[in-house]
Amino acid sequence: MRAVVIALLLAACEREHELTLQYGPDPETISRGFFCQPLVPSPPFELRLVVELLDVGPTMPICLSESLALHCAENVCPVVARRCSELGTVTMQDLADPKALARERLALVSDAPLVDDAPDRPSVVRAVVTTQACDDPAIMQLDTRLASPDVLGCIASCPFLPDEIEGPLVLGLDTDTTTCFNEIRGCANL
Amino acid sequence: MLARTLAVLGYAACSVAPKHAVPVSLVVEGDRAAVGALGPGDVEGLELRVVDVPPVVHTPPSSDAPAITKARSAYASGEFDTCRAHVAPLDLVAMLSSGRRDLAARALALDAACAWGGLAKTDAQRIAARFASFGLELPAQVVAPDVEAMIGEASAAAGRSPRHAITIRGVQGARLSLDGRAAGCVLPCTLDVASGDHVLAAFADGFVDAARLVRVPETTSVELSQPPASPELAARQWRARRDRGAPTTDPTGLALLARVARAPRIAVLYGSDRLDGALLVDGVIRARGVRDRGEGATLVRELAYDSGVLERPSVLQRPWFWIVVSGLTLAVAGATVAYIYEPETRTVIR
Repeated sequence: MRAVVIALLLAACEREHELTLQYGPDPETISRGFFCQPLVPSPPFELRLVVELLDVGPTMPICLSESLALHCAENVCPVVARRCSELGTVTMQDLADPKALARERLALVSDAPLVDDAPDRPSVVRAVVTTQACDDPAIMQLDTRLASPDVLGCIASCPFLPDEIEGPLVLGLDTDTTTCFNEIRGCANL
Repeated sequence: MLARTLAVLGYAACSVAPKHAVPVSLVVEGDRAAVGALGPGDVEGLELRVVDVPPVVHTPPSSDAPAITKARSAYASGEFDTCRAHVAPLDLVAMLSSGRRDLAARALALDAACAWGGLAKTDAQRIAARFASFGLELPAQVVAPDVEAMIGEASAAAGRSPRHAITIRGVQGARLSLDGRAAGCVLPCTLDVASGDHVLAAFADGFVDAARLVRVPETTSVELSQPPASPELAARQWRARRDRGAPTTDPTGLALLARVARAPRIAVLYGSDRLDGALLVDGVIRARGVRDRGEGATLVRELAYDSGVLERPSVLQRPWFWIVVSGLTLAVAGATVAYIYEPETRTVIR
């Protein structure tokens, strides 16, 4: 009885808050960061999506690639959560319509939470399309960066406080071209 | 924590009670069920002693009427001395002061007739004059026609005689009667009366009745002294008030109960569809109050506070004050916490 009361009190003292990721400027549009053509290797190849939560604290950086890169160079932005999802094999035929491919494969992304209790610190969520295997030790260990040569696309959110932001968390890439090789490298190497 | 708070409140509530309980006599009248549970120690600081108003003791019937009947028989038999011997011991003042005018009329008429029959005509005329000055009505077929005529002449003479003022003093507000009839005034009072004998009587609750035979115009001023009533007489007077529908818990009724209880502090409760109460100290009403049925203990406690028998606890010493303050504090604290509290947030990112 006492345990039930304590559980109820604890439940009453906690607010559950859920953030969903949106891989583009709106629910129907996928960010350009996933379509940088020069990066595509020769098919067939296996495609994975690695979603990471980066701690960019203790202060809140502004939402500019340059500022974010500088901030993480000075403060080291550790990866606090990582989720790798298999998106299947890409063939030459799939490459004919990259947007359809992206839409189709993103639907395969795992529904498992990236994190159950995000730290209430300035954070950034990054989604990286890579050919690196999900069981690669570099992916399994949070303190290891992803292999740059394998990165095919990258989008990220602006810095945010997980407990205070509402609505879908929008991810994107700060670019206006489809040949965004350097921007993707910058995004993936924060 | 709760137990400690209650202990502090209890101590605060009890701290004003005197070291020794104050004795208070308690008189309950009317519907006793309206008082509710009220024992000797049910009001903290008071020792209640229930007092019952003693029942009326019926006095034996007067021997005046049989004596008059015997006098009538002796008169009818021509035994005039025997007749007068039966009438002589009768107390006319007592008869008239108690309003038994018909009996007094028969006694005086027979006395006059027997004196007339015994040839003591001067005595007969003196008695007839007294009959007339009292303003009595001649009873039918009691005496012979010649005696009736003599009495009639005396009554006519009394009616023609000049009237004289007489001033009566006594207990302030006492009711006055003249020759067995209400005088229509209360003491002090001045009356215009015919010459001759008169019986003046004064009645006041809480006092012994007083009566006096006076002769006008020789007497112009009279003092009717009324000693205070004994507890038994006070009880009779209180019950008489109740029987004639007079209020029993007005100041006069309460003063009678105070005399009945023979105690310096008396609480009187009267139960009906509500509960009326008063507390008297040394015969003076110090507090009155009304409560709902069943709240006898609360009413007595409030009366004790209002009358000064018990010292009313200050606000800081009353439990309800602390209960209200504690409640308000908790409410404010709760509202504040509810306003500023932000629950722990658990954010899930999918």
